[in-house]
Amino acid sequence: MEQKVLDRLYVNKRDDFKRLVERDSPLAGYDYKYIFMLTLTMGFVEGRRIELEARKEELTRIEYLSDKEKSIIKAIAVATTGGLKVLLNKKKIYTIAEEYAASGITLLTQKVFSGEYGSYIKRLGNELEEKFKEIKGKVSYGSIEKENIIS
Amino acid sequence: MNIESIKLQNFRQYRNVEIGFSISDEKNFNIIQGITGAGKTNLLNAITWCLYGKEKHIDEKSKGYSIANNLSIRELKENGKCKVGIQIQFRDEEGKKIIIGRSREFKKIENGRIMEINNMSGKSYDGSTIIMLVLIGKDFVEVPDPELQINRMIPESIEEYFFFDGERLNDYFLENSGKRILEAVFKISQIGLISNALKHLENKKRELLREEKNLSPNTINIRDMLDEKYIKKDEYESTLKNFKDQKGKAEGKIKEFGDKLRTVPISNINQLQSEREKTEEILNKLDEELSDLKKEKLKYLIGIFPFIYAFEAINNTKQMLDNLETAGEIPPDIKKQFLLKLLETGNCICGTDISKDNIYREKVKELFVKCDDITQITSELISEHISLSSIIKEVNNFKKEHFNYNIKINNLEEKVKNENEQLKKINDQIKIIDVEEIKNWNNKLNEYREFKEDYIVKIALCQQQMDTNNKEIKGLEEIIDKELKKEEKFKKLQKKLDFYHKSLDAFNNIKSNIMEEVRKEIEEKTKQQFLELIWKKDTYGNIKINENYEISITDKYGEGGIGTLSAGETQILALSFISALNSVSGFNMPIIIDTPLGRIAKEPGINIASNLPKFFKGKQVTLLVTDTEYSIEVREKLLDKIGKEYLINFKELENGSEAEVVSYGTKSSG
Repeated sequence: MEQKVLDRLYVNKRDDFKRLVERDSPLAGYDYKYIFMLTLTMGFVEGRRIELEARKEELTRIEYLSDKEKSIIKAIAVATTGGLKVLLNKKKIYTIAEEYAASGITLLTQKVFSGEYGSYIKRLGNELEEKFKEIKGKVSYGSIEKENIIS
Repeated sequence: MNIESIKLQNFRQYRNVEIGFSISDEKNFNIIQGITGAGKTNLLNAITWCLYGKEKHIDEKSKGYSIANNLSIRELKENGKCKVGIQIQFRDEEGKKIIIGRSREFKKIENGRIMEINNMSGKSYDGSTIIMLVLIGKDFVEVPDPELQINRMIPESIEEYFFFDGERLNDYFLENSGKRILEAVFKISQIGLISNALKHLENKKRELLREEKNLSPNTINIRDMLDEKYIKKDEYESTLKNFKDQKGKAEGKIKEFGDKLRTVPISNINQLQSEREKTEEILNKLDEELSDLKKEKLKYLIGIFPFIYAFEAINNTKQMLDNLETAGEIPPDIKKQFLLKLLETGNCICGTDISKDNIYREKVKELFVKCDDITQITSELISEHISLSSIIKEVNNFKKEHFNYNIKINNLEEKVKNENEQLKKINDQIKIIDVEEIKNWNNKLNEYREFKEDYIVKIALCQQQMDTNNKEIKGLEEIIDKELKKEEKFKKLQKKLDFYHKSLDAFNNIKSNIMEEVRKEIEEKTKQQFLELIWKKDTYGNIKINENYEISITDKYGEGGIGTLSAGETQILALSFISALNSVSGFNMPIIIDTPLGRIAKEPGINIASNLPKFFKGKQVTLLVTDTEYSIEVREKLLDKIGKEYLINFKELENGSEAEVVSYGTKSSG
């Protein structure tokens, strides 16, 4: 059951990601791993994966991800496959993640570059507030501890 | 002479208003209060229009507009007429009632335009109708030639010393003070007639020689030379007057720019500049702090974003792991990898041989099949379980954290806003007094100083040329005199000329004596009033109005100048001067002051208010005041002397404006 060493994350077009961390972007200066996590989760919420092309490009190294980020990637793989067994297949875990990120990059680019430059933080804050409200309603088994929520 | 009442009909904002005035000696103050633009100055204008047919205190805003109330005019139908009228009822020292009324009619013509109706049968030159009535016995009797009578009662030339704008008093009095004081002394002395007589005598004297036909050729020659000198004399007089006017204007400008430079000291700029730098420094720090905080917030949001977006997945995975834990599958009792190793080696940990198919090996095989693959990563699952729990905890705190960031950012933004407003205020102040402007003022000041110096030289030269010319005139007149004396036939002419010379000398003496007397009297009374009423009694020693009618003030060490007085002290000096003019004039007229404390700070304002009754002792005084200058403290100081108090209620309506004058406060005792 030995697996090939996995140490890179790939995307279809690195330039799409690069654009998001360049000077004119509100995310300028951010490491690619952050952009990857954003695109991955956005693609996941959209429920859309795009298979990576053969000439895929390297984006960042897995080792740069924090434990929590890795946990999210695994949780997404579990949610996507419907079981914990996927956790035995690291390649699959990261392939799923890359495919979601390949889909999420379009969404993120649209969101980041629409509206005024200075308003991105505010828009992002509002978007997360909305999303938080949504998950608070969906999760019924107490994971969101209501006493901790300032509403 | 006191005003008992004023009736205003359709005059500017006053459609139908009657104001009764206190005429009591004890309660000789009347207060009419109104906000800026309510119509205080138009009350003053109503009085001068009634008396002289002119709105002598009209401001730029009202110039060019009809005096008729715009509301009344709009309500008129085409060809409808509207009457504007002011009626003032006076009571003189003997209790005699005098009514002066002026009215004028307006007609609405096509397109809503207004036409003034010139009443040819009216008594006034401008087409308005003026009437003066005096109560004799029980009946009011019409006075013939009312304008002449009014001018005798309240001369138009000196009305400005009785009805005046307190706010402009300082400027009026201080700018070009020599010329102003000379004018005032001239007017108050009522020596216009003497000046006219002098001019008339001079002309008559010249005509006498010109009309004489039997003069010898030599005398004619001298007379022609004299005529030329007379013409030159007139020219010199006119040029000198012009130069003096120009010098006066330059002095006014010197004062204006000097005041600007004095009232805006450089230290003030330095102070403002240091405040600006300090505020900019604070702002820079706040901006930096805000930028850092926003960056921090963005980092937080980007960090928490995947947690929230993938929350369902995280939560579900955690639930699965929870279930495994509940079922006791993690940590598992036996790892699949371990069982595989036992089967491969054929030795159980208890020492039983399981290398061959036997019941024990079968048991281990059964356990191996039952054992899930997942157990291979069981330690990883445990750490995932912890990690996901921690993520969920972070998500739980999102609302609180986000709220805290927003609060911090809002507070900082508010601080930045306040500091920016403060910076704008400072910048505005600096803009008003920016260094370039100060340089400009200084240049202007120097320019006008040069002008003044230039005119001083020009005046001196002109004066010298005029003196030479006058000497030459005198010489030529003496030659003519001698020539005339040679022949008996010119004895009559000579006598007449002699009479003119003596009369001219006499009138000139009278004129300068009266003016000198009035000057000294005004100087004495101004000094007396000022030194009695000024609060810094030890500071000031003397007030002088010199031969050039320039006023000077000295401290006890003999130093000083008007420029050293504060605004409040200058107002006291100006009021002392006006009060002296009042007293010297001999006209017992009521005093009406528009915005008496307009430019005065609170404390000096209270001081002046407490002194006003002393300034105008025994005179009826009406103050037209704004609500800000008529403070509680000012009112308290005057209260014992107030006979009537009114408030002007100004209403700006859709079709025009209207003001009512409502009595309040002090009960009438007049």
